[in-house]
Order: sequence, then structure tokens, then C-alpha cells
Amino acid sequence: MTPRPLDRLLRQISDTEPEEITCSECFDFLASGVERELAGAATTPLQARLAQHLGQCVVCREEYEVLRDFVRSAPADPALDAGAPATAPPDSPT
Amino acid sequence: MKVRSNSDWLRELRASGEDQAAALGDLRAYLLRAARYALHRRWGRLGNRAPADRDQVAEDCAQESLLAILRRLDDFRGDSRFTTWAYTFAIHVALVAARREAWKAVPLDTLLDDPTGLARLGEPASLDADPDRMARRAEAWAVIRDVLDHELTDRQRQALSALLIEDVPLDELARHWHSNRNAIYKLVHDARRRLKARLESRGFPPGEILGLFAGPG
Repeated sequence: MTPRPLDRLLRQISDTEPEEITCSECFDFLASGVERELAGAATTPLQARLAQHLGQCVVCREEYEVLRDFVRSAPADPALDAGAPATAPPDSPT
Repeated sequence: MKVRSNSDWLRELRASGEDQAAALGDLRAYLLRAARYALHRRWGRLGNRAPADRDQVAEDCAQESLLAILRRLDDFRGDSRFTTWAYTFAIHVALVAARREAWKAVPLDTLLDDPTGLARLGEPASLDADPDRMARRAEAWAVIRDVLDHELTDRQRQALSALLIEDVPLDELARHWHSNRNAIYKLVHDARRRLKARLESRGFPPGEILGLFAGPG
């Protein structure tokens, strides 16, 4: 169930840090962040800052989750051909 | 498809002739696959209501992300596979396009000018089995409302209302205001910092806020 707006605000206030990475910085660390998560690597300070941003920013979080699920579902070096359909992902709420 | 290391990708994309053409062709195929995946995530549930030209949208996203990657090759730090880094571009471009499609018919001016705005955040439960907790919650809520109503700028109130209540994507708000994601994120971050600081100064540490408002008690 989607949290109420008030609950989301309270959560966001509670998780606010004095310094937070920007969306551009988040974008720059998405790939390494996803690979570290999928590898089960230990959390680094940078990974923690990335996670904090993802907790505040819905669009960055969506991009992280889609990247993670795509990388997880795609072979490391898929034999692609131009006519191949996209990997069928699970549907998600729009 | 040729298997390439990170350095192979960089070298061949910066090369010329057949090596570069092959690398570009392969990278474009990877990007198209990622863009299709991202669009399917957004539009898969829509069935016939999904845009009819979704294949063309995916092609456009692959092309736009390919050009962005070529502009930013020097930014690749090598702390992930090159292809994972490249996918971030395709997925970002595809999701921005999908959000644009979903919100293009929504009049954001009307929505942002709604005078009820943050009043529609909701109210915390007014009853509690514990009278002390009920009183603290009422006090914390009064602090929050005071900051929302009197200390934030109009733009901050509009942004919070749009993002929290209307679920407007940050991209769309930035586009509507001729701004960018970083600027809107900072606008909201400043508002959150002010709310948190005021709560702390009134004796409500962050760890207590969620517990205070959780459930009817």
C-alpha cells in the first residue's frame, strides 16, 4: 500500500541529512551501486549516501530499480540481435 | 556479438573505421534492449493504452542515450562494467520519456495553483490511548504546520505538494519550471532541513518523529 503523503513527509524529514548528493551525482554512481548490491558487497559510505538519496528521490529510485532489475535479468554479454524482443520484465505500477 | 572489456569499449568507441562502427552498432543494440525494458516496465500494464509508437520511442531513446554516452566517455570511471554504465543512460532517457508521456495532458499550472495544496497532506490521528503521546504528537504537528505555512517559500510549498500529494515526477516539475532535477531536489532538501531543524529545536529528535505519528497508539 502506498504510504499517505503525510507519512511520506514524516519519513523524509526523519531521514534528511545536512548534506545530500544531487540527482546528477546519484546518476553517476547508479551503475557501481547496482553492481555492488547485486554482488552483495559491503556498504561503503558512498553506497550509504546513494541509498539515502534514493530514499528521498522517487525518480532516481525508479531508475536505480529498473537498472538493477534489468542487469539482474540480462545475461552479462547477451547475444543480441536487432529484432529480439526486450527481456520480459515483471510489470510494475506506473 | 563481440565480448569486450571496459578498455576495449573505450578504445573502439574512440577509434575510427570498422572497429568503431562495430562497437557503435553493438552498443546501440544493448541500449535499445535496456530502453525497451524500461518502457515495458512503465507501459506494460497499460495494454492498448500504451503509446502505439513504443518501438519508435525505444529506438529514439537508444539513439539519444548513445549520443549522450559518446559525449561523456571521459566520465566513465571504470568502477562498473561499461555496459552497466551505458544502461544507466538508456534507462534514464526512457523513463524520462515515459513520465513525459504520462503527464503531458496534465495541466500542471492548475495543479500547482491549487489553494488547498499542502492542506491535503492529511492529518495525524487525533486520538491516542496514551494522553502524553497524543499531546506530544499534537505539539509536533503544530511545529510542522507552522513551518509549512509560514517558513517555506511558495515554491517550496508547491514542490512539496506536487511531489508528495500529486505524485508529479521531479522531471516533470523541473521541465514545467524550466529548471532541472538538481535544483528542484535542493529546493525540497532545504525545506526538509528546515522542518527537521525546527522539530529538533523544539525537542523532537528524528528518531522520535516517526514513532510519535505511527498508528493510533
